[in-house]
Amino acid sequence: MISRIKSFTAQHINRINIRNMFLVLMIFILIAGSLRDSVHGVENSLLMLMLIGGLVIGWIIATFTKSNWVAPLITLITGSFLLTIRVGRLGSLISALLKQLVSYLVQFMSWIFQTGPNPNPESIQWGVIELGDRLGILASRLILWATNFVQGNPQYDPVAIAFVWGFLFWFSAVWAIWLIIRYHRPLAGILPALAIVSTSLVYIGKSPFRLVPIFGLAVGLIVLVHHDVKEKEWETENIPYAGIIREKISTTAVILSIGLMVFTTINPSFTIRRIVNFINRITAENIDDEEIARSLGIEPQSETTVVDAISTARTGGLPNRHLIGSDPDLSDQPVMIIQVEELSALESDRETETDQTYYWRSLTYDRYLGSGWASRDFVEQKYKPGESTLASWPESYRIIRQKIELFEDLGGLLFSAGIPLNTDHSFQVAWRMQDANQETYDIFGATIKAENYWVDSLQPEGSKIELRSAGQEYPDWIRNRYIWLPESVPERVLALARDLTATEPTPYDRAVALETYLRKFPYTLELPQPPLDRDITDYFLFVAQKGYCDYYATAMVVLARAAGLPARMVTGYIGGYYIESQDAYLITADLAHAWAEIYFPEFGWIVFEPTGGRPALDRPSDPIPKFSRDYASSFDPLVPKKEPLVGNWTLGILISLLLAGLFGYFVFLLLDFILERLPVEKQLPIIYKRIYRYAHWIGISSKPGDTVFEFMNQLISHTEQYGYRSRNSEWLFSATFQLREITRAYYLVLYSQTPDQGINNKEIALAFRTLRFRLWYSLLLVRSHRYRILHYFLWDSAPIIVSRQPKQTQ
Amino acid sequence: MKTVKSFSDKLIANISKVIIGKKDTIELAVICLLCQGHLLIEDIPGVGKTMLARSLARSLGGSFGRIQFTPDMLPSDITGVSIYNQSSREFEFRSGPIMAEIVLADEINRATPKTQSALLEAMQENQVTVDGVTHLLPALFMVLATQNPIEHEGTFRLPEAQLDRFLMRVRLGYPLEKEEIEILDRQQIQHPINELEVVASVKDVLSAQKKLRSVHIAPPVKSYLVNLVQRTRNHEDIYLGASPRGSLGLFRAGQASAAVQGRDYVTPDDIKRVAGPILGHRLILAPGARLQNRNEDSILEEILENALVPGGDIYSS
Repeated sequence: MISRIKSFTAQHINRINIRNMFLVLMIFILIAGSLRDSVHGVENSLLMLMLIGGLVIGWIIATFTKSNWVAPLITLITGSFLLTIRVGRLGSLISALLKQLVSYLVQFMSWIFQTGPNPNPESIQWGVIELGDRLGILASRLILWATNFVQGNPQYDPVAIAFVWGFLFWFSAVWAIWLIIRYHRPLAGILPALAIVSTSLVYIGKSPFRLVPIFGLAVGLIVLVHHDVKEKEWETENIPYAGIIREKISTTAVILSIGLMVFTTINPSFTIRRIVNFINRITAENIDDEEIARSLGIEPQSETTVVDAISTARTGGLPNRHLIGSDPDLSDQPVMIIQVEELSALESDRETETDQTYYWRSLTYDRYLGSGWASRDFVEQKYKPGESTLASWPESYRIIRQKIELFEDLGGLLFSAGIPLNTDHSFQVAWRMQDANQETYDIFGATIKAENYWVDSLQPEGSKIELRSAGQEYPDWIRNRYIWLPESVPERVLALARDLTATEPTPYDRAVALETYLRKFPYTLELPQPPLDRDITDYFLFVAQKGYCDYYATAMVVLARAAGLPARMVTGYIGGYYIESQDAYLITADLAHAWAEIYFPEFGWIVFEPTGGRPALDRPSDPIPKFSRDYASSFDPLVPKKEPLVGNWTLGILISLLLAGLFGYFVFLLLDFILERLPVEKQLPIIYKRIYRYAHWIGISSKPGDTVFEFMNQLISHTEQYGYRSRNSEWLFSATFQLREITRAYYLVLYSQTPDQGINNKEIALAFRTLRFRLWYSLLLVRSHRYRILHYFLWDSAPIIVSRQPKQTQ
Repeated sequence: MKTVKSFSDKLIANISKVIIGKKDTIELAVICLLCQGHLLIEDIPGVGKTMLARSLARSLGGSFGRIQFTPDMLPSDITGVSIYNQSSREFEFRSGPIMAEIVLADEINRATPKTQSALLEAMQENQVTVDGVTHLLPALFMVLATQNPIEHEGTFRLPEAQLDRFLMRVRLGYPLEKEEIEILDRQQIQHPINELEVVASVKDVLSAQKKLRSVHIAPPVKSYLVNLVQRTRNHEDIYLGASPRGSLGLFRAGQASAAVQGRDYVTPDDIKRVAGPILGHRLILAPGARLQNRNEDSILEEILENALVPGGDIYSS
């Protein structure tokens, strides 16, 4: 037995194999590194687990299996098993289940030997059922993602991402080991892994320098393995060889690999991110690298410069940046007082208004910066008093009327519970997106220049049951903006989001899971300034683990996005002290608040309260009846607004151009009218002068000794030259008829005794008008003949300027 | 003017059966006929000068006389001579070849000046006087004289001053290849002139001649043609320009040209068309011009290009 073990180890666990495995491990560690950078949602621990597991399993099947079809099966089963346990966080559940199984067995044994009570299989049953549930949820999530992907409707699901990439990585590790150990074919073994990492790098457009160290190691591995194979060959065929070859080859391989790796460290990939981080570290300023990249032209200029133009000053405009870490206002100074009236039909079993917690929003943010929030570009639109911002909205929106009286200057911001619909003053709304088809809207914020104002607003609502069944059919613009997170968000944040929500069946449940998780963090206002180059969410979740509303809200939005839910950050005020005598809420400065809103299809942006210590949102379990959408604003505007006279400059210019054109045309018609009425003797010289002018433009010059007839012939032959094989040549050449008629008439007028021989001034005018079009067309042909590109449009085939003798017919 | 047109069309068509191509020259000949003028054909031998005259005569059914000039010819050879008749004891007048309606005077530059002058006098006076007796020439009287431009030896070139008597000078020239082949075809069996029919009478000619005098010529056109003639007098390359005879000729030929096309008014195009034949032989070039290899044709062309045409003032503005 021992000798068998010895021979086994000697055969399989030898220096060469260990060296190969080590190289493969190094290569895959590098691959894992670049994969982690390019793919969002696979973190180090997952990849390492897959790598080690894959290497082990690969070595086992390479060494022990006899037939080839067993290997893929084992790979599949073990890979899925590992991934399921890891991603679904089933480890603890399974270990608990195992413990229970063991204790049950012990109980069973003791029951058999009649020393103990009846064994209780209930806990095992519960454990198994829960395990089954969780597995079922995981499976359904994967299937849903896969079907959506295949249907061309890709969805962001971190679980699916972890599964897919984890499995690919696992598979390539197993494949590599299998091919290298068993078949001694390193190149083919490395190939899938290289393919995966190259395509992911290329897809996100990162520098391929990252591949160089991998190539270095791969080259070393390939060289060494091939040499081993050769050596074995030589030995079996008794070919003498010098042992020094191995030395030389090994040295070369090592030098090559190290050299390539050193090369990459000297010449790293200069991403803008690195430069900016470097600068950040030096100057301790928080520069938005994305904006810098954009200003260097790296990122597409799809966003307007409105974002940059509006400064972060809080006077007059809308602040579009919200940096976390600034001290929150602690004073209890009253800032405003709000009277509320519910305009939608109320159900009898809803709470009275005094129990409602109103979230008075002012601004919403959609872009996470790592250090805070910003808004994407928006369009400002002015509204008259009484003018509604929305034409229609979902039935689940509640209409609330507020009368707001300000005690302090709050920067001109408009506060409302929900989407501002209508006020009694003129106000301005900054729209990020108006999607009337989906009845969804995204407003950055609104401003109003008044200290007392009415505002009607729409508050999205939903019951638990409805929100659960809302589905995940997000419109494209929601997907593009509200699930996106910058790369600076650390992997462990993403992993946390994924793990918390892996086994939650619906998006609503996932959101609630995150909310519940965050509410457990203690609330405090005493927090030092967070480090500048640190991601705020990471800092809050893993370092500080306490904070105030800004942090909770930020973490909620970031985690929700990482879990695939569209979310945004909202700031404003919360609640207020209800004053019975005035039936109004008094808002103080310390009620400034930030919260998260998550998007549910057909329900809009639903408020979530992650801040620990704040009252939890009470959502009804049963579906709430829909509110009617009949609505008419009924407050009179205090001051009628005057509209400027000329709204649109471009329209004005166009109209004046049009009028000028019409005027010119009328003058033209008038001249024709006059021409027709002239006597023939006066008509013809004018006409002929004009014809001569056209001819001159066409390029016919006449000598003084040319008679009119000779001139006409020149014109005709010139036209024929250019019109030959043009598209409307027949129409064009009919001009000769009119020309001859006019010339004949002119001759009669000039030289004959009896000029009125049957020529009619109307006919002549008509002939001239008919002729004129053809002359213009001839002018077009002559002028465009120079430009070869127009030949296609105007000529049937390449125009040949044939110089022919003008026909001297009369 | 329709009759004039139809008349001339018939005539031209008929003559064209014999003279292939050369329609312009035939038309000019007809115009000359209608103007009661005489035609000088200056050309190389063998191109159809005689045929032209003969076919013209035959088409009109008129009498044809042919004078072949030689250096030893006497005037009486042209005009005719009185011969003493032995039997009747009187002098009889035997008319010379000039007593015909269409007279072909071949190689007029070979005759001595004395003989030439006899011809020219007859052309001018329309009568010949022999031995004190005046014989009138027929009402229709046209001389087609030929001159060979190549030969210089043994010739007495007609002085330019006397060339003035001829209304027009034309040149026939070689036929084109197609035309030459057609000549061969037509003359394969027999000469077409033998089959030529009479298409008009002398009376038609006379009436046409009268009719065309009523063709209207507008004052601007008149001043145009006079301007042309005056320019020939003032041109730096011309020593002696056209005389008023030239203006008159141009005038008449313009009318005839218009009438032949059926118009009753003269256009500057008519004038330009006949200007070369009418004026070309009336110009005496300045000595310097000959040295520069300029001939009358090119100078006339230049004049025609530059003289402002009435109705063409549109070009100048």
